[in-house]
Amino acid sequence: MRLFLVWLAASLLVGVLVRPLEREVARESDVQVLAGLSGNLGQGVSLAVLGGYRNVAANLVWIAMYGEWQYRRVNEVLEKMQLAVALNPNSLYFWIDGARIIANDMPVWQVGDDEMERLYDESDAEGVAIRLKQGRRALRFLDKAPAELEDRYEIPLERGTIYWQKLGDLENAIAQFGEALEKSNSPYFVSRVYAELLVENGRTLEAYEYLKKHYATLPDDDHSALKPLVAQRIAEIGAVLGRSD
Amino acid sequence: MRLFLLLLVTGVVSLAGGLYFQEFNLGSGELRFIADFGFGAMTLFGSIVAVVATVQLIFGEIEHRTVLPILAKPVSRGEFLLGKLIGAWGTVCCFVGMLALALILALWIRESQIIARSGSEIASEDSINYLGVLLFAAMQCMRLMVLACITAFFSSYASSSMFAVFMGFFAWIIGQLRGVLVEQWNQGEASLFSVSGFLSLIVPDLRLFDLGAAAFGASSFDGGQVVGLVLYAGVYATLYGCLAALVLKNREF
Amino acid sequence: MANEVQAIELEGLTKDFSLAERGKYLRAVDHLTLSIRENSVYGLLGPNGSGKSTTIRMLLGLSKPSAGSASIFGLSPDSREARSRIGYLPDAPYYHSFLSGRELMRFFGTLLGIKKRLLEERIVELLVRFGLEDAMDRKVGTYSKGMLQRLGFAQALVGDPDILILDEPTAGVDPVGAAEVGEFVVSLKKQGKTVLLCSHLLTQVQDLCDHVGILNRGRLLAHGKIEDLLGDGDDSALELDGLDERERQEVVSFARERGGRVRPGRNDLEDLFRRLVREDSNQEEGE
Repeated sequence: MRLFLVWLAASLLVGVLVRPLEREVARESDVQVLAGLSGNLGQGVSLAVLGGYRNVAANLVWIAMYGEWQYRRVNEVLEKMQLAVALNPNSLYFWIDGARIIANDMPVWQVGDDEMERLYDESDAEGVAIRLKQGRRALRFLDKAPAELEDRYEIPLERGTIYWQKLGDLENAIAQFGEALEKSNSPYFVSRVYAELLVENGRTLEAYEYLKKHYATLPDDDHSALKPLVAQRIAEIGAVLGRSD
Repeated sequence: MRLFLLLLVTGVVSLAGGLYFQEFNLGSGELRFIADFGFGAMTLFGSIVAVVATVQLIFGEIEHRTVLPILAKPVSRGEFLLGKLIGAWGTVCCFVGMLALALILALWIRESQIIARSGSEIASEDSINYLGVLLFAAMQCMRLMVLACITAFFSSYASSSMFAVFMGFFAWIIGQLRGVLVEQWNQGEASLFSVSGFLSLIVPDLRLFDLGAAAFGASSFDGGQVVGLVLYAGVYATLYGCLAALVLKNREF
Repeated sequence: MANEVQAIELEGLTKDFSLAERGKYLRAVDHLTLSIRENSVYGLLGPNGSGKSTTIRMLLGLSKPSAGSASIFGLSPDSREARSRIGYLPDAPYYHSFLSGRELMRFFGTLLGIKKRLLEERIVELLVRFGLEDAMDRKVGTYSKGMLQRLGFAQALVGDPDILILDEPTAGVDPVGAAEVGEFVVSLKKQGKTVLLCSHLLTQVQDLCDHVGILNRGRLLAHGKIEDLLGDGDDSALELDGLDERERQEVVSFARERGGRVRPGRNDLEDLFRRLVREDSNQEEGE
């Protein structure tokens, strides 16, 4: 008993003393994601003891998720996705692939393969509601991605695509594409899609000015830049605007 | 020794698994995937070595009574414990060091093959910082030092090796889970905060030492964080070392 | 007597072990008081469980007294200096079986802080002296019981101690080995060492000891020189010596005619020991 009290008192004292140091060295993001999983005390928490094997375990969990995906078990798929990203939150692939499964596959599972057109039939309120609901769920999933991944263009690009294609929210899609453009290594097609979204949203002049500015930065020797295509599009939009400069 | 070799071989085999199980690799860079296997072997098998070696070196001496002729010599119990802890930690450091070297070798061979095949440098986010691998290994040594000291505390008190081993592994699991459990309580009902706060005060957070991402080119090291972790490990190792010495000092032989 | 240097002094030494039942304890050593002078052989004798090993452990600082004190040349057993002057032979070979005899000696010598060169010389000297020269590089785990006992003596002597504490040195050793132990103890005394010898095998040690103490249930029942202890009590017992067979028979016949009892010669210390233990047990039951 005396030993227990000595241990308790000493541990508490040291715990208080090292608390500031602990805050200094802690990287809380993955801890928060792992702890945030619902009903995961049995699996997520126990997998936390794996240490360095967590990333390996995350891959295996993702493969297991695809096992559930085959049978279209929504809850199990979501749970395993959460578990995998909690175990390895730095895997960009998990975030992008997971968001696509939620936004693209899950609405179809809900209405059935034969009736997937309902999702885009504006007269079918129920079908549209399913598409919007899953689109928003995919965005919420992406919002949990760690800050380190925000330096890359893929996450805002994926968000922009969901806003555009699943939610029909062009303003937010443009904002997200704009964010993706600011990241380093952003591919050339992001700029072209960004300009098209501006045009589609009625901001034609803005699109014209942007493309002209963008064209000036394009290299001549990189085929993926599609410089002639951009020049052609500038000319087309210019014609619409009655501009020829 | 046999267990040490068995775990070492298992660790190296696990590392080799990283090279040959690329079909399970989803999205992360190939080198990163291999490194994950190596890091996993260091943390998982390293923890087993730390617990078993410490119990064997401290409680094993008590159980086999080989401690009697030792303590009958002019050796204090504190010195005995310190010697045993240095021995246990040395064993752990050797184990982690050998796995780290095996990992660096595997990564270097694979990186050379990839560069030779593609003819270009590897993308910065997928490239390996070898210093980072060594840093990861060093942080594991720090973590395992804390675990060895906690196990020494239980070994000094134990009356059976089963108890000492069980408590060592229990401390390891609680230490690894501590951050998650506390966060989970914090995210739940506010009334549980006192429980979570209490737990976070009495149990060291061993997950702090898992610097997995720091080994890659994309993440730069924070020197302050490393110094902080060393300090953190030092404080807890000292606490449990002193508690173990106190228990051993009052133990009857 | 007052000027004699006391190597070991025990003053009211008591050891209680608490039992599982709250408030109850077992008294292993009960107010033990004795002195062992320098350069003597003291036999601490008693049956199993009489408190001999507990007393030794308190002398070595391995166990703390519940009351009273023990001292080695006036020093506490916890002190480094006291323990550097003691060589200890445990009651069983508690040695690391994965080391060779030479490595084990080196390990203990290093703990004693002996300089490397001197230590190496001493190791060889001791191992040769104890007949282990051919086995010194073999793992201790492969040694026979007798070899382990001899290795035990060698390790106890590696620091050239002033006091040797031998816990059951002849237990499990064959008669030849026991005789060797006897010769060795005598040689230690000649070298000026003090020997504390614990045993329950009285016949093997009684000729070696200058003084003995008889322990039972932690209590010292008797202590002193063997001849003094045996001289106490039965004055009517006579020792017959220097007669031929015919004369001896005449004495026996005479004694029997007068109603006397004649019995063959017996081990007197063992007799004394049994009598003391029996009386002590009877007294205990009476209380």
